[in-house]
Amino acid sequence: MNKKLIYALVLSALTLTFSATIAFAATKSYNGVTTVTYNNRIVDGGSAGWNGGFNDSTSPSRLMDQLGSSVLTTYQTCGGAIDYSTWGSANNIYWTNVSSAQDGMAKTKKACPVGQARRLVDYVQHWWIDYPYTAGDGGTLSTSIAN
Amino acid sequence: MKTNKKIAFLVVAIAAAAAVLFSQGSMLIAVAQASKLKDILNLNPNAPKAKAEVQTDLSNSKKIDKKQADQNGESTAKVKLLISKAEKEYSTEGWLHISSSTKAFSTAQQTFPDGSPIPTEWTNENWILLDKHGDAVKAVNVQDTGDPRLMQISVYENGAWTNISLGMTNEPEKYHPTFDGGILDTASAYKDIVKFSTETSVINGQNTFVFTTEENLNMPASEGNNKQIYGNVVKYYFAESSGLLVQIESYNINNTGALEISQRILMNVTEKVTEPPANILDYFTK
Repeated sequence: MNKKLIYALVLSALTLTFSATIAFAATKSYNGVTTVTYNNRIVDGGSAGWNGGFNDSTSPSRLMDQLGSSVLTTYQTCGGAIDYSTWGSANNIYWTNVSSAQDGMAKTKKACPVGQARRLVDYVQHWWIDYPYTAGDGGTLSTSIAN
Repeated sequence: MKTNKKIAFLVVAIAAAAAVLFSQGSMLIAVAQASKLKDILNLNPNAPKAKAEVQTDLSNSKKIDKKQADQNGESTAKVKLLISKAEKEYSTEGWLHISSSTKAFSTAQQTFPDGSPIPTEWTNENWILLDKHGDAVKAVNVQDTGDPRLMQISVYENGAWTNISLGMTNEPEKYHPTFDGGILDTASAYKDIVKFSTETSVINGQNTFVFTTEENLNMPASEGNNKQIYGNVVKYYFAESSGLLVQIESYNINNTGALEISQRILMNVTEKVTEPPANILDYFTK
């Protein structure tokens, strides 16, 4: 009888631990623990190309096993509309045990139709690891009038 | 009789199930169609705008020599003369309508974040109200790929562009439409690295003056598509009779020095009009 009771207690403890682990993993979030600040940059490389990039950091500085990811999107607009052929987006910047992240994207310039001004756009957004991933701490969109 | 009833019940059940599945499928398609452009592009229109920290780095571009610089000056003078014809006719007070078709032969990526293919062809209808100095007072630009979900309508009003399809407004800027396709700005900003040359050609039976810009890189650059690019060439075709640009072609220079076309823009119509259609005027708030 005692043996059965011990088994039951051990089993209950294991079940509780397992459930708690799952619950913790499901709710794990560093959103609010630290803030991601954004620093976009656009490098004009001449008539042929340009580079859009960012250099972001946590404030206060935090090293976490998974903080989320930063998505960098760059494109060119003509007369306020996106030139779809210039669209580029990268979602491979995962924050694992780092307190800052950076990336850049080389792009070629395309001509705009007559009468339309060209702009280069550099957009970075941090996505927290919460499920579902949520956009956080602003994100920043920078534009530059380009020759 | 019992067997027949069972069969009839089965048929009805299958039909009901099919109807449910079909309606769910239609619903899914409808939901997909209703998804907004910002969701397709995974953009947050409310993201704070920052003034870009723009740097210029021309260190990877080959410098041109003195002889080429002199030739550039002669070519630019010819373009200025030709454009002055078009400006005199079209950069005047009132409504201007410019229509074009773009075909992209290469794209930086193949798909948008939602997995849908990136379009390679679209048209632009641009309606601009100019003041007596040739500055835009207001304008509408409609970009149509043929897919309603990807259509972009941009409105210039109160000194700023708003892409109403995305719900994004740019920082205020002066908008002065030019007829040179940006050549003169390029000539000024990149005078030490871009070669200019001129020739004549016939496009659709029209005599054209072709102005070519060429830039060569010291080290090849690669875009998302991993193609190595050693430089670029842009050809601007001006109608000799009117001074209007009728075609713009962009090329990448590959590792053998050959040109690979990346984009062609055909200028379909440039005209002064009394007023745009009512559906265009409706985009303005006042």
